[in-house]
Amino acid sequence: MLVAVLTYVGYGVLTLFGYLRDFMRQWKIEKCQNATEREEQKDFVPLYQDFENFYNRNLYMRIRDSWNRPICSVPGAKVDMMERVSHDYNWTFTYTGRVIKDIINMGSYNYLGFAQKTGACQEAAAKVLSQYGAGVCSTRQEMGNLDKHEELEKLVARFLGVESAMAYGMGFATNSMNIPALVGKGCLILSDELNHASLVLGARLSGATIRIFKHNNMQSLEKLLKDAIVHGQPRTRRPWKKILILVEGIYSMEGSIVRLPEVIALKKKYKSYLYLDEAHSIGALGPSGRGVVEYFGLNPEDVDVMMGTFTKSFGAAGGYIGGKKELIDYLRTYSHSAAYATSMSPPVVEQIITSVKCIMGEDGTTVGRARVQQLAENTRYFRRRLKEMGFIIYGNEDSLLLSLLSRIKYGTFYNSSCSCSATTGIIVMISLSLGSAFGREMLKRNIGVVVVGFPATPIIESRARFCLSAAHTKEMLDTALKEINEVGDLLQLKYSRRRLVPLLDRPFDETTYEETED
Amino acid sequence: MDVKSTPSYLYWLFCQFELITCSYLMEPWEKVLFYSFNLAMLGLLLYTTYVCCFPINISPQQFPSDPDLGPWSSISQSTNRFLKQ
Repeated sequence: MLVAVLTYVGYGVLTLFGYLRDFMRQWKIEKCQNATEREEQKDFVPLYQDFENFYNRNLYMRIRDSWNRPICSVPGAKVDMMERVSHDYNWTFTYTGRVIKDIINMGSYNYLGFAQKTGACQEAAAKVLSQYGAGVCSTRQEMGNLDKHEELEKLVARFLGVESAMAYGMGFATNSMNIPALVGKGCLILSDELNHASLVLGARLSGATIRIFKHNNMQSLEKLLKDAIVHGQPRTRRPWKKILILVEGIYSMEGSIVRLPEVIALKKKYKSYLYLDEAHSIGALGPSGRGVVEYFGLNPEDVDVMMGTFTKSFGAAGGYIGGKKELIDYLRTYSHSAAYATSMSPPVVEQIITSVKCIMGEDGTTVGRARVQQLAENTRYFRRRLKEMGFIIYGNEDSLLLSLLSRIKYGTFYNSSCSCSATTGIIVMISLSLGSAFGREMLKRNIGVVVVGFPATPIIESRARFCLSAAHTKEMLDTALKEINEVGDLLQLKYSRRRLVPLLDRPFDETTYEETED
Repeated sequence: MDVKSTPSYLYWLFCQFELITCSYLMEPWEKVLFYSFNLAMLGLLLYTTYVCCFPINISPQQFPSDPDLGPWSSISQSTNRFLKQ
């Protein structure tokens, strides 16, 4: 409570100074370095007066040096970063020419450690590069459908346990271009509160009616479904053509895992369709890395559209959609991405093929299995140590994303036997200056973390995220934990008082028997 | 954190103040402005507390007989005396 008040104090002070600086810029006391309208356009509708631009000019510019940091090596467990300084308070940057070597990389989504420059994946990719070259120069529907793509799609379908799959060149585009192909006007989309921007964009582009249910709250979802079935479309009262539920396997900012068994039960009861976005959970959850469906022990055929990306666990780029054969054949014809976007580059395809085979164990070694288990161990260890230090952790006990200063999730219901667990940790900073101070202090100590603020998170909650990887050894984790401990003491981030705080997603609104009020 | 040595503890407290009020992010001239404003406010507060709550410069027989009136009574007394002039 006190912390929230203090955050507002900080923001209030910065806002006042923001107004002062804007005043000075307008009256030409200070040089104006941001974008403004031209002199001739001063009488038109103002372009830069809304809150987002105000935030950008006055608040974001002060802390900008923690973002867009250029790296110059492969983003493995350790990374090299180019050093840059700013002489005019982050308006411009210059590179000193020095390279900071061996920063422990806690910011890349390199969950299974496949982002390497040596190893089987790299050799296979190099061979394919010498055979096929790097460019495809066409779309999937024209001349860009290589045999490598067909091989990849069959492999992905086998990996997921579905009938058929299709791969696209970009993970974001997979969501935003395929949801419009699946639903249109007259359909209903029920989307979770905290869905990713690609899902939101795809839903908006489709033209369907969108209704939002509270994060991971099955009562809210059921109420919306009941209303939809009973009342139908808003004006004409006709039944909806399709009802699509959009959920993610793991939510990257919260660290919570979707309640998949309940969602599937609701879907079957109300006869709607489920679109599961497994961007963060594929390859990392489940005993053999097959994602959140395997984590819960469910049948992959229950999920109508299984979407995922290759960026996070497979060390490549791109996304896929898996499902029944009729669905995928329809998408091959009608998806915007298939018709207009260039297909995936062959070395990238080979990297995915090799890494999927490695995870499945088909390349003859147990490396894949070992990686998945190493990831699980790393996350459990990291989580346990952070809790011992007194940080509060966001997210499921087993979840991929663990965040500090959080509300320990109630969902220990699903925590039982599975060997997989979270891959990232998130510290909630509460305020802007703490976030940037954390980022800078960690860089001084040679650890790279990602700090996330407004607009990706609510304005009083900025977070620092730790992404663990199977490539991190225990020594690296120990070093990182020691530094986090120091910085946490320095910046007073340890808010744990050994009490459970009410959670963000409350499955039952009435009974909260496991939570004590703060 | 080493809280044993007072100078470093005070410095750490100052850093916490800087972080909470986000003056850590400000440019030097903004910091000067902000701190001088804060110190001026603090000074005014202390001055008000000193003047009103410690009536050391008022002679004893003008204290009120009712002990419940408290420190503001001397102010009202002195104001009344001023107005009656």
